[in-house]
Amino acid sequence: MEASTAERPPPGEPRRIAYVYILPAFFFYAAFVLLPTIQSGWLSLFDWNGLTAPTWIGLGNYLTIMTDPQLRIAFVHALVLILFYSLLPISLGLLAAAMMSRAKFRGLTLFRTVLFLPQVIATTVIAVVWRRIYAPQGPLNGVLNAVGLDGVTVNWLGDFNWALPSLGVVGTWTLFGLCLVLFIAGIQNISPDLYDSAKVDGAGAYREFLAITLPGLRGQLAVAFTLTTITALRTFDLIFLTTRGGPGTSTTVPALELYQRAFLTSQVGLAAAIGVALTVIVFSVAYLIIRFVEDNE
Amino acid sequence: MKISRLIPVLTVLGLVLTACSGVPGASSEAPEDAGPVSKDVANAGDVTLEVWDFHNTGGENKWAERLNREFTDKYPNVTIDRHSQSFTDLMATLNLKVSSEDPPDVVAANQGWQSMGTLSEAGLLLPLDKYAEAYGWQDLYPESLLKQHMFTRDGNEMGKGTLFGMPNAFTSIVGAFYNRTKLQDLGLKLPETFEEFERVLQIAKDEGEIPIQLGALEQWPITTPFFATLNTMASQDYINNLVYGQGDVSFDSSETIRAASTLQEWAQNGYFAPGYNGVSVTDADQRFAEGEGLFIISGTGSSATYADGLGSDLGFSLLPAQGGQAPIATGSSQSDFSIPSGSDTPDVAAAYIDFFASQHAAEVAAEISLLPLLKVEGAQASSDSVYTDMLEAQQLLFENDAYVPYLDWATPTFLDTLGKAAQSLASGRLTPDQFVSTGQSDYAKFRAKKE
Repeated sequence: MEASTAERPPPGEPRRIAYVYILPAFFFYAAFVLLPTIQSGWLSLFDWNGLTAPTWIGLGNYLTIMTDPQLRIAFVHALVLILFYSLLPISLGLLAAAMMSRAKFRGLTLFRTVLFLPQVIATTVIAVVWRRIYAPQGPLNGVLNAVGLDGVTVNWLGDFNWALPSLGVVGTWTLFGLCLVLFIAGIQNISPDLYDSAKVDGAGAYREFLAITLPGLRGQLAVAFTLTTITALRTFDLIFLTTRGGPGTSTTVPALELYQRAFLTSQVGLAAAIGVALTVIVFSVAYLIIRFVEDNE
Repeated sequence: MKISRLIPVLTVLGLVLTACSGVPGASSEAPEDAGPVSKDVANAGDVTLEVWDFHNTGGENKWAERLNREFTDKYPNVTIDRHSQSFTDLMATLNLKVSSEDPPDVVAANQGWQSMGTLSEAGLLLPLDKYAEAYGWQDLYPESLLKQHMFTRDGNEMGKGTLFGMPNAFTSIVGAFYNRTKLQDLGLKLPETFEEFERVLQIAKDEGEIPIQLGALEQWPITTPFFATLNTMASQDYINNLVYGQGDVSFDSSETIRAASTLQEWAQNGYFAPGYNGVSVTDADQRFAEGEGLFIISGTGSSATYADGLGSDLGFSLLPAQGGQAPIATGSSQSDFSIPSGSDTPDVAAAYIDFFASQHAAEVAAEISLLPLLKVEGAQASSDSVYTDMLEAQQLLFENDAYVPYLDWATPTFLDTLGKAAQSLASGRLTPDQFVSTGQSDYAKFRAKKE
């Protein structure tokens, strides 16, 4: 090959060389993510107890997902959790970020660190701690009793009505810090000139927020929405370590149903189908978020 | 097509084919069951026995450790690699473990369809008939107990066919433990009829005591009082037929509806510990041991935990049957051992199982205040008051042959279905009729598969 300096191709060409670089990582990705995913899809078309020969049932498992009341309610609960894991932290995060970036006070970094801390703690630890807090003789009821609100004390995790919202609040607490940090960082990237010109035009705080802050945070909102809704839909450890889906079926979620079917009741095909259905839902939600929230100019 | 377009297409195709290739599931070749049996452990060379059990706490753990020590003392060429965990944890991983390339040599599969039935149907457990002959197990144990470990080879019937597991020599019967001091303080004596029992519960409630300690976080524990109550109002034949799937039996019956109504009444009357749905079964056991609660409905296997806290204050009694009949109670071996068909030391494993099922093992159980599954002379000599109670109860059941199997053995999903439904029943969200139909649809679905 003739290779005079003038004719040597620029670095990085031929582009196809890039594939060689990603091959090692791709190998692991394929082996541990892609292959099992496709295999799950394949297994979901069978009725299989994990041990004996499987029976082909085509889309039968998916039909079960749509008709079995326990599975239906699991998916409904996942949607309820989106309210607590996603909408609530994002709203509160926006509010807090807007307020914090207007005021200039010392210790902002400390605040941010402390509020972000729940993100860093392992979910198992969070579950155990909150289980204590919600216990019938735990600190939450203790505080309510102390201020004279003993009529409001409830067995939070054992109550059919309150168990799911209680767990939702844990999610809000965990994800609030993440949203806050995301939005504060995002606001700092908005050019102050915009705010100045808005002020000149006589815009109040509320107008500013709607016209400048919110649109400027499009990218961060997309990230926040995506991360939080996926967390909500995928929730498993929190439920498993606190209520196991109980009492009754009042806190069951798709991931928990998947676990129980795969390991406890020998319904592996159905578990695979639940996994596939959940994946499809997560992808759809993520797609919708990107489409409608992110700035696609 | 350009090479660069072909590569991603080929990659995807390759992945799909790899993922979908090969039929999932173990090849269910029937394991070899002919062949000579060697009872000679001493000359079997250096053997490591991998044992998976759920005797991980209390008296059961002591029993298992002692027997393991004695076995290895007797046969120094054998090393025991023991993996012990809680029942729930073991059940979650057992199927995977047994179907792996290198399964353990001895496992504690649960009786019933959830565990032993599914594994034996898949050909993953070694049939034990030839060992039963060699070791004389049929002479040691009554048919009704061995039945609990038998399945037909086609996996369709339980209670007959081939033996796939052997009991461990201690038993657990389900009844009501009570706090003697509390009973005395309330000025009551132990109820002898079911009506009296309910009256005692009400009096205890009125006096501010917790009538029945309960922890139902894991959901299955709330089925214990339900099954115990069902036993007081149903015939032994009904329960046997239901569990073993004999005859045209339905879970939907007047007895189950009555038992369900009783459970609901007790919950609505506040007889169970407050906040029971949020308390784990281990915590509830601990609380009872610390003196909270007049009764706890539980298996005798937990007696050591309660005795640790209550000492001689602890008493035990079977739930009195209704209509003045003799009581029947849920009881079986607390646990049992099976041999995965992939084990490479089945003969030594069988000797180990025999050791744990032997008269000697029963005697050791009696020494540790566990209920022996076999008759042990002189066991009454124990000064432990609760042990005397339990032994009396067991003798009564033994003489009347009044054991019934655990109801949750009836289908692989029964424990899960009934646990969830019972929580809803207790809180009033399901009527007894609805509860029973939920159970029946689970039961009918499974039986339909077996026809």
